This record gives sequence, structure tokens and C-alpha cells, in this order.
Amino acid sequence: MSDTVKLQDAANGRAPAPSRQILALGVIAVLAALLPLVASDYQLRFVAEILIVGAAVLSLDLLVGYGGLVSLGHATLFGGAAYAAAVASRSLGADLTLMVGIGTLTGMVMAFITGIVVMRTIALFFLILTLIVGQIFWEIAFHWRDVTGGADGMRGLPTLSLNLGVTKLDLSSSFALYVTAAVLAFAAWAVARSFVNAPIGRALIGTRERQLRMSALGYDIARIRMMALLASGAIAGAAGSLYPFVNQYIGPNSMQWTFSAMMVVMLVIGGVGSLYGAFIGTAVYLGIQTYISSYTDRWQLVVGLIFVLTVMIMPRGIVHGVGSLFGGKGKQ
Amino acid sequence: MSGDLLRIENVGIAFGGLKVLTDVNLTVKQGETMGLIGPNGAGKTTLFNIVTGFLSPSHGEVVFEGNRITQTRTAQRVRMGIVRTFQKSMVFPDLSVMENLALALRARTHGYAWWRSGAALAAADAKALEILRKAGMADRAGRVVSSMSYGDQRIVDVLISLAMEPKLLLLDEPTAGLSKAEGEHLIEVIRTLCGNTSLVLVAHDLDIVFAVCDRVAVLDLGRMIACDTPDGIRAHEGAQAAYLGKGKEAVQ
Repeated sequence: MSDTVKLQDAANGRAPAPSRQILALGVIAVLAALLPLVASDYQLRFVAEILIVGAAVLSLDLLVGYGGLVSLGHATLFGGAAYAAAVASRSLGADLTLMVGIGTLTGMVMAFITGIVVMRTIALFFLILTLIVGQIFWEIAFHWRDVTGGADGMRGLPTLSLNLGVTKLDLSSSFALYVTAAVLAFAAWAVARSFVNAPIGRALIGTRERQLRMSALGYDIARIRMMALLASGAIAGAAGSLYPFVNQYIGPNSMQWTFSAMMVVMLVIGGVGSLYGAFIGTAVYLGIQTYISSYTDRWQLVVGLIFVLTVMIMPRGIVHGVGSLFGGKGKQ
Repeated sequence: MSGDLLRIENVGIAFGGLKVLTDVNLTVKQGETMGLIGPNGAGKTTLFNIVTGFLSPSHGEVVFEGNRITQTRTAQRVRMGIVRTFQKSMVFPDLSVMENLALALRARTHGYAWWRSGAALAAADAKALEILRKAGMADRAGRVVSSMSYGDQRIVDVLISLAMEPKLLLLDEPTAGLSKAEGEHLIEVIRTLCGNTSLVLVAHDLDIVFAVCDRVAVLDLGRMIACDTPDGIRAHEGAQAAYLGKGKEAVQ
């Protein structure tokens, strides 16, 4: 490899020696393939939920980690898409491609509406405005009882399937849901990584680091942020479209600001600005919620303890903390 | 040097009751290097902010290449060729040197692209490398900027602006915080790379200003009190009283 190519690779965020990444992906793929052999149906469904929520947290990482935009309305994009898919499934059936398409579109539309309100703000104002817009959407879902089921949410949804033309593949089993969620999670990671490494992603990092300079270079800051929000909304929406079919239920809590805050906590625990840290943080949080709560109602104390310890010992999250032990590089 | 590139006509601005600039007139010609000096608070950076569109003047006009741009947005002015630097270093610390330049190079063409266009990226990268070679920094192209010395960061800061191929480059104290040698090196890099770009240089190092500028303008308390050749400014009584000093204190 010539020096010029090496320099260009470094400048574009391409890893000069991708063997570690390939090795990591290979290990994850092998573990993912082996999991169904050892996990129960319940555990597979639980992992599917981690992957789906993790994909939504990953989409939040685009905003927080690369744009410096902490949102407290992100659950709206996820939950709104989940409701849209659930409502559509009752009349159109729960075909996977249709659900993901509806979810993605819903996520982007809601992100666009949110963006119109918040795009010219930053920091605390961005946080508060996303919270307010999110809560408006939540109010609509909560009170539109005829469509969303109100506080009761929606149950009795059709099972997820994949129309292959000649035949219809039933995706209701735990194994099928797990595979579907794994494919979604990988696709979400790939799309997010592509976005981050594309010129728009580098520009987003530029707005995080030097907003004034980016303006002086002629960049439209609001446009960059809107694009990031749309990409984030698309991923969150795609993830949300599968969420109702894991537990055959969707309720207003999935749109509430507390869920958004939970996503932020998951992201901080996992590692901001790494993309895959979102899945680690989600696994830790949901793992505690699911398994510790069977011993005590105060499982959130454990989450709080883990959160505090993470911030103290590994302030950039588990992924960066563990990565630094093995000489890994920091976030971009 | 030929015709006027930039004309600032009777520009004034006030923040509340405080008049920061009062009826300022200034002309910068094609290819000219103009020095802008004055004591702290004279309004030099405010004038830059008005020329680049970060601030709108209370009155007066900014004319660039014969077009009135007083109400034109910053991004549009950048596309027209007006680029600036800031008093503080405004590099992107977590990105590599080359990516700092690439951000600037992409701004005009495909800065918002959602995908990597290999050809477009390669073209931008090649151009960035060329600039770095001319500046003698090609060996540091892959280094993360935050790991470099402050002097090198200031050079990168200016290179980002030069990568935009500006017609008019406004340099706001580019040598601030640098040693004499570093400052002179930076100015040398600018002169090597700027080509026919018109420069407006704000600096407190008057040796540098008088050495490199074709003309020098003096701002004091928001008023333009003189604009002349370096020799003319040295001899100007108003400039001496406001900024240069007299007798033993005077700048030679």
C-alpha cells in the first residue's frame, strides 16, 4: 500500500488494517449462530428484544455520539413507528417488508417534524424541545384510544410473516424473531456506519466539534442536523416496526420520555460514539431489568449503581473502556 | 493588483447603546494584502463578522465583486469566495489533519453526500495532500490534530481556509499565541499558498503587518482613522496616537 493510499485511508476513517474488525465480526457471527443451540425460546425472544431496542439506541448514538445532540424524544420515533406498524398490521397483515417499510417511513416523518422544531437549537434547548415534541406525540398516542388503545395499548396483533411470493414464511417463532432481529441489528449498524463515514457523517462530527467553523466553511448546520435526524429516525423506525411483534404488545410507555431517558442511559453505559456500544448498553440494562427484577423491585438501584460505576471507571462507556485495555482507539 | 474586490461603505453597528463601528469605509483590491490594526476593542473582529455575514450592520453596505451582499447569508458568501479564520484555533481536534482539510474541500461539492463516492473522495483527498505538501506537512497528514503542537494547529487552521480557494481571506490574529519564529513561518506558508487571494490580516505583531501588507488600515474606537501604505501609517499622527506610539515607543 502506498503512503498516499494510507494517508487517504486514515483521513477517511477507513481502518488501515481491518483484520481486527473482521475478526470481531467473525466472532460475533459465530456466537450469534451458536446461540439458538443453547438458548431457550424465552432467551431467544429476549435477545431479539435486546437487538431491536439496541438498534434504536444505536440510532440515538448517531445524534449523541456524532452530532453532540442529546435527545429526550427519541422514544417517540421508535414507539411511533411501532404503533404505525401495529395499526397497519391489523388491516394489511404483518408482512415483514411492509412493516419495516411503514416503520422506517414513520420514523423519518416523525423525525422530520421534530427536526423542524429543534434544528436551530443545541444543548439544553435541544434536549428540552425534543422532550416537549416527544411528549406531544405521546399525548396523541395516549389519548387516541380508538386507534392506539390508549393506556391499555394494543394486543392481539397478527404474527409476523415474510411473503416470498410463492410461499409465506411464518416468523412468529422465537428462532425466526431472533434471526429477523439479528438481521435488522446488523443492517442498522451497517447503515449507521456508512452514514458516519460518508461526507455527511464527517460534517456532522464537524458540527459537534466546531459549529462556528463549519458555518464559516459554508456548511448549513441545520441541514446537516436534519439529515442526521432523518437517518436516525429511519433506523429507529425500522427497529420500532418489529418491536410489537416480539411480545405481541405495544403500549404508550414505548413513546414516553422515560423510555427516551432509558435509551440515553443504555448508550452511556455501552459507550457513546461507538455504534455497537448501544447493543452492549441495552443488553446490560435489559438484563438487569429482566433478571434482577425477579429478585427485587428495586432493580433500578442496580442500574443506577452500574451507571455510576461506568461513569467513574469507564467514563466513555464499556466499549471504550474495554477497548482501551486492548489498545483500541477512541471514538472518532 | 487591479479592481476593487471588497468595498465596505459607511458600515456601522451598535450593540444596544454601544457603538462598536461608526461609518467605516474600506476597500480591498484584487490580490492585495491589507493589514487591519488597532487596539483591543477597536472593532476589527466585528468588521470581520459583518463582512462574513455573522453579523448584520445597523447601516451601510458590504459590496463584493460589485454585488451588494449585506443581507447575503454566510454560506452564500463562502461560496462567493469570502473565507475567514478566527482568533482562537478552530480546527477539528478529533479528526486527522487531512480530514480537516477534506471537510473544507467537500463543503462546496459533496459535503452532504450520504455515501462515499470513491472518485469524489479521492479527488478531495488528492487536493488536500497537495496543499499539505506545499505547506510541508504531508508527513503529518494522518495525525489527529489534537495531538499536534499549538503552532502546527494554527497552520492547519489556516490551511483549512486556504483549501476553500478563497478570493478574499480574512485572517483574524493568525499568529496569536505563536512564537516569533512560528508566526513568521505561518505567514510564509500563507504567502506561499495564497496565490492571487486578497488577504485582510489582523495582527498585533506590527513587524509582520508592516512587512507583508501592501496597505494598512487603522481602527480606533470603531472608527477608521487611517488607511495608507505601511510607511504612510508609520508617519500618521492619528495612528501613532491611537496605537503605534511615538518617539522611543514607536514601531519602526
